[in-house]
Order: sequence, then structure tokens, then C-alpha cells
Amino acid sequence: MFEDKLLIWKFRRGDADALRRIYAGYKDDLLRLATALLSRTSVAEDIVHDVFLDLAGSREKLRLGGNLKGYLTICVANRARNVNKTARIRKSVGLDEAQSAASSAKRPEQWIIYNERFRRLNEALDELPYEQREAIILHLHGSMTFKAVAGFQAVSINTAQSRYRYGLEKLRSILDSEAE
Amino acid sequence: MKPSENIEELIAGVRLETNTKADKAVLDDVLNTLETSKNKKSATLGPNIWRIIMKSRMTKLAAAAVIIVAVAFSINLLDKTTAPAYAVEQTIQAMRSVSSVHAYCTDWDNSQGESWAQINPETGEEEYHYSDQGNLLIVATPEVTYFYHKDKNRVRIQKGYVPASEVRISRFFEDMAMWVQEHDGELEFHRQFDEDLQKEVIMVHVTMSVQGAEFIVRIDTQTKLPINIESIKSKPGQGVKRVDQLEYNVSIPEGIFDFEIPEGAEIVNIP
Repeated sequence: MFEDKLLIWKFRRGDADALRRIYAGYKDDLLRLATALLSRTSVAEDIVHDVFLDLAGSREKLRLGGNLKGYLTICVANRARNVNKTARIRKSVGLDEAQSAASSAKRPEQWIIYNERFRRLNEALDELPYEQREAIILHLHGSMTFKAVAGFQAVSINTAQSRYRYGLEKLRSILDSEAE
Repeated sequence: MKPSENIEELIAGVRLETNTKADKAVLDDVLNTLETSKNKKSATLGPNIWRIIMKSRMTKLAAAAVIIVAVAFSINLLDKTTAPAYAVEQTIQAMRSVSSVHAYCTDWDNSQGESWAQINPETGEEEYHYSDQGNLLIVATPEVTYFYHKDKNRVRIQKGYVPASEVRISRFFEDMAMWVQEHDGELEFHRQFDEDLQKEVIMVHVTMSVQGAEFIVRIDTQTKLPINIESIKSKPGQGVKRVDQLEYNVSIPEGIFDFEIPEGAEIVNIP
């Protein structure tokens, strides 16, 4: 926690090494989070890429204490939610699925190396209502408490817990049926 | 999935790997963005904001409060994740009623210490001060200040009151604003949940670029008074590493400012 605080202050003063450490420390978790929220790897990669670009470009406006992971988690979750909303609107009016997030920068090749277990889990997550999926992933991958999840989803804690519980039950049933 | 497998553990335990070439490409992109942002001048922060401080002491203090409020307010406007505005004038007001302070401190050698100060609430000036930290005991009264070096059994005596710090405790923010301005520094405010204290606090980050000092003041959101002060960067003579706990308007132990020269101590009078 204290190390994070120092890292943030150094970064706010333009220290490139601090930014490297932030990137190295959080990129994998954020990619996992984004992918679990959206399934589409390329979109998830763009979101995380954009979150880091935004972070680098707005260091002086950055106002947070020691909880860097929490801040970055929310940044990714907000973008994932926006992409998901756009995708739903496009589907409802018969357009193509959502395009990637704002990033126009090109990476040389695919960033995430998918494994079979992750792929199967994400396919199952894709069958859940987004709110349930979000509650599960923010709690389990984002390490957010139910209170924080409820705040993010603008619902009561009971509702956030119910979404989590129902989501897990459905996920279990999907994965169990695949195993049979 | 096996029926016995815990679904929560399955999700939490899943890992992914990344392509190192892409890792480097993204990092290069991010570092380039940082470099570009460094060339842009900040519109909201920076030492130039302090240059508008006025000349007279009274206007200086008023200007300081206004500037602190302006900076804090602009930060709150910029930061949508923080709770509603913290009004720094509440801290200024709360501190003006302080008549005594008790502090527990930790120094750079990790020695634990304790300090007491009696303050005139009208002027904000300390009148008496006691500090027992590691090998050094300081007792300051309006007439004389004693520095007792316990390890050497030596007492250095200086006529008059030698203040404990460059800022008056009960005018902490008012004086600090001047101090920061004089040393080309910055004050930053933000609200956060403090894991150690297990409550929300206002965190003030103070940087003095000329002196190379950097410290954090945590303020209680309820009492509006500083809870502790922590040095991030300091040089010899710039004070203790941490003021772990601050208590206000407490009863001062009787006789604590009555220093008695220990038997056999070497006396050194400071001109």
C-alpha cells in the first residue's frame, strides 16, 4: 500500500520508471479483468492499452491515494461497460457488433495468449446477463468488496450479492452441463 | 468442470499470459505519452500559483487560505471519484482553537519520542515546548531553551525560546502555505480511505522542491485536525521521520517544562 503511494507520487512527477513499474505490476491483472468482462480479446486489449495511455497522459490530474489497483480496476470496468452498452445498442438496431475501444495504436500481434481453461470460462461468462458477470468479475478478479461493487453498479449491497450468487449458480450449471 | 470444483476458486485462479513483444510495444506507447504530457504545462498545479501571495502578514494569511481553498476546490472539481469538497478553512478554524498539542513521534533511527507544546491560541505562538526523542531532550520556555544530549550528558543552553518547528502548530496550514511558497513547493489535497487508520482521511501532500523535502499530512474528516505527519523525503535537520499521533487540547503534565540540569552534566552556553 505504502509502496503504491510512493509509486503514484513519483509517477505524478513524471518518473518513467514508476510508470514502468505500474505497468509491469498491473497489466496482467487488468487484461484478465477486461477479457473476463468482455470475452472479445481484441477489445479487452484495446481497453487496457487505452487505460494505460490515459494514465500516462493525465498524471497531473490523477487524484488517488494508495489504492492504485482499485483505481485501474474501475477505469477498465467503466470502459468495458461502455463497450458492452454500445454493443447492445448496435445489436438492437441490427448493426455490426461493437467496434473496439478508442485506441488507434497498433500492437505488433495479439497481446493475450489465451489458454483453453480461460477460453471455456469466458464462453460460459458470455451467457450471463452483463450485470451478473460484472458483479462476479469485479469481486473475484478486481478484489472489490460487495459494497464497492454495489456502489459501482448503483444498486444496494443485497442486489449486488444476489447478482453475484445467481451468476455463479448459472455459471456452475453451464460448466457442469459441458462436463457431462 | 468437475462437479466438486469450487466455481469461485476456478474463476479467481484462472491466469493468462501475454506476448512479450506486445508488452513492450504497449509500454513504449505509454512511455511516449508520458513524455508528451511532461512537455505540457499544468494549468492547475505548480509553484506559480504561490507568487500571488501578498506582502503584509495579514493579507498573506488571508491569501494563503484563499489559495489553498482554490487549489483544493479545483482538485475536487477535476476528480469525480472524490467525495464532496473538503473545506480547508474548517481545518484552519479548528486549529485556531488549539491551546496544547501532544505528539508521539518516530525518528529516522526509529527511536520513539514524545512532545508537548503549550500554545497561545490568540497568536498561535508556542509558549512552552517539550520534546524527548532518542538521545535528545529539548525543553523550551519563554526565557531559555535547554538541549540535553543524554548520551554525552551535555546540556546546551540558549537564551529565549527556540521554536520546535518552522511553522506554528495551531497555524499549521496558514504558515505552511507561506513556507511552501518560499521554498517553491506544492500542496496537494485528496480524500482517501486510509488502510492503517481504517477510515477516510484528507491527505495533504507537501513538496518543497528547493529543500528537497516531501511529506504527507493526514487530516481527520470529522475533527478537521491533522492526525499524523509522515516524511517521505527529508534531509538531516528537517525534523522527525513521523509524527505518529497528534492529540489536541490535552492537559499538560505538571512540571514538564521545568528542566533540571542533571548531575555532572557538561554545560555549553549557546551565544
